[in-house]
Amino acid sequence: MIDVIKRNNVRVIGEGDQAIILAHGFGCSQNVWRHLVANYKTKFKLILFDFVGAGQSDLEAYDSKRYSSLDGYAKDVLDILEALNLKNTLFIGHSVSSMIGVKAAIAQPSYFKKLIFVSPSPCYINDEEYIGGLDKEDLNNLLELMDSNYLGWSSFLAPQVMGNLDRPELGEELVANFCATDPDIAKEFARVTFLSDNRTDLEKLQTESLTLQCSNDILAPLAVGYYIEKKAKGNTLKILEATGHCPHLGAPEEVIEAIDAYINCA
Amino acid sequence: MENWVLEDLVDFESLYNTAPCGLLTFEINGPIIYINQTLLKWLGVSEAEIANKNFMDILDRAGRMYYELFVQPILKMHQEVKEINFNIKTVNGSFSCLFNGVAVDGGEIINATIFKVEDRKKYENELLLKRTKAEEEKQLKSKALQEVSFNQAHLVRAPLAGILGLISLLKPMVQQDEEVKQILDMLQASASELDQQIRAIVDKADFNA
Repeated sequence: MIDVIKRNNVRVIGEGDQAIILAHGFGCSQNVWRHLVANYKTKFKLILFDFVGAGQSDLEAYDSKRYSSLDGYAKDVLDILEALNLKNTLFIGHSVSSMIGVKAAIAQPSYFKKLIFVSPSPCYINDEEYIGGLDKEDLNNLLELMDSNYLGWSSFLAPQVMGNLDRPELGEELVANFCATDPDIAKEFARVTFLSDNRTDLEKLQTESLTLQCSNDILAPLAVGYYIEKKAKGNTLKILEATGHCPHLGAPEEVIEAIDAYINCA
Repeated sequence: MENWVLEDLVDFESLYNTAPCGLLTFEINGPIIYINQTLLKWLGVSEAEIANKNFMDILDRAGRMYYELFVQPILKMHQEVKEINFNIKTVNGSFSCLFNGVAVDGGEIINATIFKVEDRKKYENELLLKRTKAEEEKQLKSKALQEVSFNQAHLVRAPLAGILGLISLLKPMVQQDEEVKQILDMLQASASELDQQIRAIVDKADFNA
């Protein structure tokens, strides 16, 4: 049997009856949730994890076929909840993980009580009337730029980290370079993230959801937030004053306030 | 050396402006606060023209995405990024640079250096190109090996299996003739040996493909 806990570097922390599972976005790891973790750990049980290929997940478990669409990543989320025997959770997903959450919730509605999307997009590429914000050339240029930046990734370092308890400094180095991802995996994840069109999933979603949309986000223009609000049943759109793509890092107070207002209102 | 002597020898303002690298201070969300003359010269703009600009404005679209996805999160988490390759837009075109940044003042302000990389960038591009080419060649090779392996496994072994089968049919028919029987035994041994060899080749090709 696959050890899901090890594969996805799952950590369960905090105290509370209600569980929140936090799914990081493309290019990051579970460390990006630190402000939310500090705030919520006294009130909730928090499930943190890294997608395979990111952070300190088990790189050996990477499978190009499984992760060739967001369904594979959604399966990982369900695997984790199943392994921990959790249902009725609150799901918080950043960026691409919002749609991973949507797919997971369509497959297993009972696992989720509410979904919270931080800077989501069902489709990044413009398509006729639909404004996703990017075109294919943007994506190719981004992949090229990723190719010329390794962000501290080192193929010499990675295999040593796994299970190398006598040299903890190696692990620390990777944690410090939390964006360090195997470049080949990162490239495939980038393609899956930015080329996938998951717009039809929105209409299948039965779980209530909240969108936290930043003003001025190059990766998810405001039109995307309105689109999700229109297509997903029971979606609430909250436009934040925060700018950029990572409000949970840039303006955590505003994000926490909006999430609190949403989960307490029911 | 005493401080006053140092100040006498080094004109810090002049050093800032004429440094052989671009120096830039901006708010983490973008607005540019200071910029040195070297960088202004590279960009081909005046101080007044840059005054209300954003750091993101001097990047191309891919650079802006990269900044949002990777660089800003790292600056927020670790207060430092090193050797990020960006393309900087100028009045007449663009140049490739290495960007280093540190977050100061509680993480809200970024002090950055921008080094032009031209020759090194060409060298890197050459290496990347060679790597891509090597990967393509490897794939072609592996495809060829797979074909060889398929041919050996199916197309060559099938008639051989026929030969082996026919030998076992012939054998009971020539029980009386000791000489023919010996020749048939040798034929069978050779055909089996050939089959083994083909199997070994198939295994090796599969392993390398």
